[in-house]
Amino acid sequence: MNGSVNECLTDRTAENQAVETPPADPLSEVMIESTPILCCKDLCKSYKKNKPVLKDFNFTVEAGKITGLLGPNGCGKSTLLKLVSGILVPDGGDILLCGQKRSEKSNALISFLPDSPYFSGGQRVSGMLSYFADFYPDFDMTLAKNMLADLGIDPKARFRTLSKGTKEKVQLVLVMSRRAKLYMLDEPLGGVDPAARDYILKTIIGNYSPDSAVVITTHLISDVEAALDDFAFMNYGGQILLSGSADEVREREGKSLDTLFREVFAC
Amino acid sequence: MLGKCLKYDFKETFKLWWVGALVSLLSALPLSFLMFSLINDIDDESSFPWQVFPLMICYIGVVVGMMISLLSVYVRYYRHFFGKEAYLTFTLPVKRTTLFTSKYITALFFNIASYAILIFGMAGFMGCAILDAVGSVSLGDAIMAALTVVVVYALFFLYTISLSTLSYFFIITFCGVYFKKYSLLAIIVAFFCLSFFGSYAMMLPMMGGMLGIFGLVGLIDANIVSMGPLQGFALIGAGLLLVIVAVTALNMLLAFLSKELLERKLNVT
Repeated sequence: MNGSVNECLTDRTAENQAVETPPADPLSEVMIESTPILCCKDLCKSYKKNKPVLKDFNFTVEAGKITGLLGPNGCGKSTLLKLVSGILVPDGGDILLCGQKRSEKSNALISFLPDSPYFSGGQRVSGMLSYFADFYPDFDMTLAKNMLADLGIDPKARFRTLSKGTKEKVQLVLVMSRRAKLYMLDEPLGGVDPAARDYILKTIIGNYSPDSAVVITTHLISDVEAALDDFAFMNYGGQILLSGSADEVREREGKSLDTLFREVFAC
Repeated sequence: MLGKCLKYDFKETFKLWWVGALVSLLSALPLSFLMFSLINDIDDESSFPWQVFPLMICYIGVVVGMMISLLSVYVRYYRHFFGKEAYLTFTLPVKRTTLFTSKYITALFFNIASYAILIFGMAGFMGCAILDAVGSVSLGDAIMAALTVVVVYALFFLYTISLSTLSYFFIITFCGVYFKKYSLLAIIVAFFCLSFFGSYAMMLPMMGGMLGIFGLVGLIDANIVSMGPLQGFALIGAGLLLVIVAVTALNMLLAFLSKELLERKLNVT
């Protein structure tokens, strides 16, 4: 499994190096380098009074990176993704996407995978593909069909007849078949069998372009670790305990992210 | 984007709506004939129980069918904005105003269609009544009278449907935003209250309007007010226009409040 993921990583590094060639217009170079895909400034959110889930939360995601947002249950990882995708309204602070303040238009830039199924049971998988193709101009129908075939999912099947894991796979196919700027995946491997995790990670790594970014929240750190460029350990209240380049931290600490996570968040 | 939203809203609403509409139609067709024969044989006590029982069954069928078909638009609204589908709805690159407008147009269409099916189902009663009346009045007059009833009721329904649709949408939105976990229970209670008190409230402008018209006609007839028939009609017209403006303003206010709640306060959890 790791071998194939590492293969993809090598491919992607080559792609990134190709993109790093200076563009013709120096102004556009400054724009690309200085504008992060996602920037959260002093973000606040609470569901109950005096119990903030996120308090003055600051977070930046650069283009061409896969960032792992790792933390214990209830620390606000999913809340952050929902705020960025527009499902929740922040109590304070700013969310900037590609330098622009978040609005309904920003939804075209974001491809969000929530941690629960969101399609009604009666719909067929093919109908869901058409739905995405209708609403998102960046949706790649051929890619989606190929991915469904690879995962052995029948496009004619009704959503309610699929198992929990297969439903998650279908939604992941829909999300990853878009050419979005920011992919936000909330527990993408949660209900998926280990064999399919390999394919999903390959899909995540292989399908996004170098000018886009991926944010993954998960508890299965050892499974995604090989795919992560950056990481952030998030504590209650949205406090970032440790963040940076995954490779650098592994080298510095001499431990995997999984081991480090267990040490930092030991009960 | 409105076109695309409408396409999916029509498709999804139809899946729920057609069952109720079919039950309503299949019950209304025999009901119209049973009602007519019951009115005609009202003095014949021997056939009375045999007519009443199937009539009641058909009547229940019409009510249940209408309820299913009318509720289908609100079920769609709730599921799409406050159910698990909300995760998809609010991540679409579509303005919330557009999403709301699409739901409103769809609801109006299907609510009108529900009433149209009921009227079509009752066409048998209308037809029998027209044929029965032909002896005392001419066929043309009987058809005109029946059409007048249909048009007057259609106008009344349009007024009621537009207002009730937005009222129910506002209730769902308000309960969905503020009651969260208990939103469904709150919606059911609020729907019951609105239907109960709303039915009385709707009578008031109707009765007020009718009393006003009768009073005005009476005054004109008695020459107490020195007013010609044209001025009288103009006054009635102005009164009706005022009602239309008031209803439109109330509709716009409800639509605005619902939109504001969806845009500023909605947190899908």
